[in-house]
Amino acid sequence: MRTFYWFLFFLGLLMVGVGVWAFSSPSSPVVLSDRLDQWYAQMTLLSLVVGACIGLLAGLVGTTRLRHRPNGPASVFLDRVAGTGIIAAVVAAVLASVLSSWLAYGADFGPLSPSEKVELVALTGIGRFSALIGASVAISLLVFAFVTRTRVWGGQYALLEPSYTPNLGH
Amino acid sequence: MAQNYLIAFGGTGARCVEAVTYLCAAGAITAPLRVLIIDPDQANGNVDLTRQQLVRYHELHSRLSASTEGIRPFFHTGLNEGLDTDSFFWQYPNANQPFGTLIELLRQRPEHQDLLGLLYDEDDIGLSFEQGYIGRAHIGSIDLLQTLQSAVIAAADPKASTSADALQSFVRDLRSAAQAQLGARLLVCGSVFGGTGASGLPAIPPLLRSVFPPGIWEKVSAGCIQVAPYFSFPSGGDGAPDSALHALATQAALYHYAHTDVGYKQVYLVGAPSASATSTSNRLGGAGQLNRPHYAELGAALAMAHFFDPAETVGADEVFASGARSIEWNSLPHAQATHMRKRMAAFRTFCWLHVHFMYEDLRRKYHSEAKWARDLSRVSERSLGGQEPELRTLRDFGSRFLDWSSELQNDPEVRLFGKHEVSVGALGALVEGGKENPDSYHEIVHELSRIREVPQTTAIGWYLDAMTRANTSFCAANYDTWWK
Repeated sequence: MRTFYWFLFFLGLLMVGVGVWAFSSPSSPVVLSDRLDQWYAQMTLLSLVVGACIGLLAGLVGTTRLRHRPNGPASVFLDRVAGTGIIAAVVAAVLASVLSSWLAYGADFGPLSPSEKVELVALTGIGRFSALIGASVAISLLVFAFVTRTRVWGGQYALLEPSYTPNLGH
Repeated sequence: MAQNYLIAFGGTGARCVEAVTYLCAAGAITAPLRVLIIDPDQANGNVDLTRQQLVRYHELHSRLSASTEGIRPFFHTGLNEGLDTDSFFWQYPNANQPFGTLIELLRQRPEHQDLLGLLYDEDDIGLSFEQGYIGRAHIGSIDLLQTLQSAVIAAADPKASTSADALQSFVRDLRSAAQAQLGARLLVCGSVFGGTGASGLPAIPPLLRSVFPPGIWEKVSAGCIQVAPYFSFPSGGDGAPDSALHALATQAALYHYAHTDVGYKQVYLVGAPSASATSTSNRLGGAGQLNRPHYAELGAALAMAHFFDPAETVGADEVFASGARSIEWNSLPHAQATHMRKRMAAFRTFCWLHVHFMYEDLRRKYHSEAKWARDLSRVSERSLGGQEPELRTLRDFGSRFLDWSSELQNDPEVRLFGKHEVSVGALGALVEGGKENPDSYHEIVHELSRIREVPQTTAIGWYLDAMTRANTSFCAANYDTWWK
């Protein structure tokens, strides 16, 4: 589970990189590409904020709600920590997608219906849109790992090894 | 060298030593002790059980570093520290000889044989002591005095300075400690109604006075714990001990002590108003003589804690009475000074945790990725493999302690410990005043994960020290209604 956690993180980074550099904003005869570039940049920033908030909230809640249990390996507890972070990242991705779509619904893109606007940015521009999702996932996972590493509790080393982060927390 | 010396006679003395072992393990007694159990019944069930616990304690204590900062870890109090475990028990040399042989009956003049015939019947003359004195203090006092005298005199012989005999070693060290600046404290414990205790209690002061250099015995602060009847057992056949006679024997013994200065400066009288049944059979001795724990033994252990507490000084004519009419934490004598309730709460929680949860988890290496285990490896360059024999020793010690405390609680007058089925939630209610808490295990491990440096040089020492801190922190939060 912990390995999968970091796989998701790097996948998110990959989606950001590919989405930003390999894909351009979708072309439309009625919407300026500069306008779409600007919109995607704003949504990427929003996704980062959403992901960070979700990661932070999940970290604070997880460190107080996740329970050690006897009669089982400590690795099970650590995997539950990772699982909580993954769930938080999924929530962040969904929330970022929904928020972005909702904002596209009412965006000033020109003579398009709301549903056409959403279709334009989310489906036609799926490559670029995936960068938003990747950004929210990656930042959520990173913030969650940071929060769990710096709080003084039993799951400190679940995601960030002390040898890699010797001066964080204790 | 220890300053505090404890001699326990017979099965009752051994049971009191078992109780004091737990007070030491929990940290309620902090002064190091030198303990010696004397019982002609080598296989006495009570004595054997106490010996096993002392040996386990000794092993666990040896894994702890001498110096600690802050909270003293469990098992930190030294018991026969620096000595081997044979020093806890004196191998009685004359157990197989009949009493008649010991008093050389056949070599006595006829008129003396007639006198002895008035004092002792045929059963008495033919009695040997593999099972102790079986409540016959009129025999035991003679035999024990003679046997102890031989050993104590031998201890005073300079040629015996390296003898490994437990009693001789004890006496030599006591004599040396008495000659030191701080002097020594000697406490003798035993029943006044049985055989061995009733025989041994009055014998010690005059014997030691006779072999100590002039003026040295006076530097020994000598006290005794006289245990009055507190238990009963079913009556047996002819010649078998009868607990119904205990009160009569006690009356006679206390009459003697009231009119004879035996040599003790402090006397503790411990007993119980009702003699509850602590056994279901009448056993003359041996392994079958195994009585259930009783709160009077805990009372005797607290008396030991009071006697050995350097902060306690008692004037020549002072008399104290516990005044306790119930067996609750706030009414036990000297319990406040020892913080006994806190110590016992933390220790019982730790034992419960280790016996029922941690031992198996450690053995299966479930802990290997736990934060506390990784800190132990990373910071101290040691690791707890989980297969260490000390972990089994700890489990065995803790298991017996849990049984002991549960059996104490069986008495309806006792309101000290909680009794529960094995569960995580029970960790929060092992002492009166607690409540079941399903998060108990998590909270203790959480506390364990918060521990920073622990000044121990062995992995087992780290485990004991860290667990002391974690369980104490947990109990402080869990029993917040009375833990101040």
